[in-house]
Amino acid sequence: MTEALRSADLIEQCTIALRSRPLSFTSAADDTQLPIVSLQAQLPVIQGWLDHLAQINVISGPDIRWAPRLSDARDTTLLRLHFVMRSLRRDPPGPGPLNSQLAGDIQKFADALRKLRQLATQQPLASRRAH
Amino acid sequence: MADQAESSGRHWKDPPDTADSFLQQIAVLQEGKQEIGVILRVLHEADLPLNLLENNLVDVHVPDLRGAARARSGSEQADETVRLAVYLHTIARECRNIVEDRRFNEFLRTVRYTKENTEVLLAAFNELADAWSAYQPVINRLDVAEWGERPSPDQIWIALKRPRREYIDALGAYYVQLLNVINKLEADPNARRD
Repeated sequence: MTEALRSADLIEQCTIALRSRPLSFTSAADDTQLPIVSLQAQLPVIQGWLDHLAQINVISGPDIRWAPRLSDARDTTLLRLHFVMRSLRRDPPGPGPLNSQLAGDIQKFADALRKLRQLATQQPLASRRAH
Repeated sequence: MADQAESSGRHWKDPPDTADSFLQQIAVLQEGKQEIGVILRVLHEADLPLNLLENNLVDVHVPDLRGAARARSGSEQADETVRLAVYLHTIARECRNIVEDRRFNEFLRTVRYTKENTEVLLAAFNELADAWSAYQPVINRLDVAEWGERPSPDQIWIALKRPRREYIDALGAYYVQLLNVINKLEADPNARRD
């Protein structure tokens, strides 16, 4: 969970960086720190987290109202992640502005991930209140 | 020369220790990424004429890339001189082969380089290969062009502009995917060379 939240934060930062300054060889001392590379590096972590969250449902979840909302947010994020991967495959990004399709898909993925993150971090509080 | 060929043949026939083999493959990937990155930076930052890709000749005798260079040319010679563009494409193809190698790809999965990551890299290489298929024949014409003949050298230089630009763009996209592989390898302490 901690690693996934850190990845979600990194993806948020990368999305902002990609919006404000697209890929550039001059903007990064180490090319492996380019926003698109950092973002791609986090995707498997998020994928693993989404797989893990799939195990939480109304029966197994600690809160009967929270679990369906989480499941819905998780499904949306997974769909957005698939769209990002599809766009990456169709037109792999190079050193220059991202194409509009990929940029849009990344933004929507980041938005969905932010909502999921919020819901996921609310769970312990809800759980504590219930007890 | 024969000794060199035999030496190289022995290298490929004897199955190396898997860990050593992976380290060699990682080294080739890192060197490939480094060399492609340097040229892309030069092209982006230094404002040099793009025809340096065809005008600059490279003596290919980097040990790790020797096999790839020989396979490309079909020659038994260990070393050869090629245009920079040809050299870069040889490196790009060698790196693709490594990532695609079944055992190495399984190893990459252990450092969280996923099947989807591989697919994106292969897609980037396919675009590069498409760009190369338009670019390479024009480069080859430079070797036989003569003044007074058609196409003349200056006509070929003009004809190179578009395929060269498309190749550089595709090389940039492929480089980003190479960075993604290196990023995963460097994040894993067991995969580091140093």
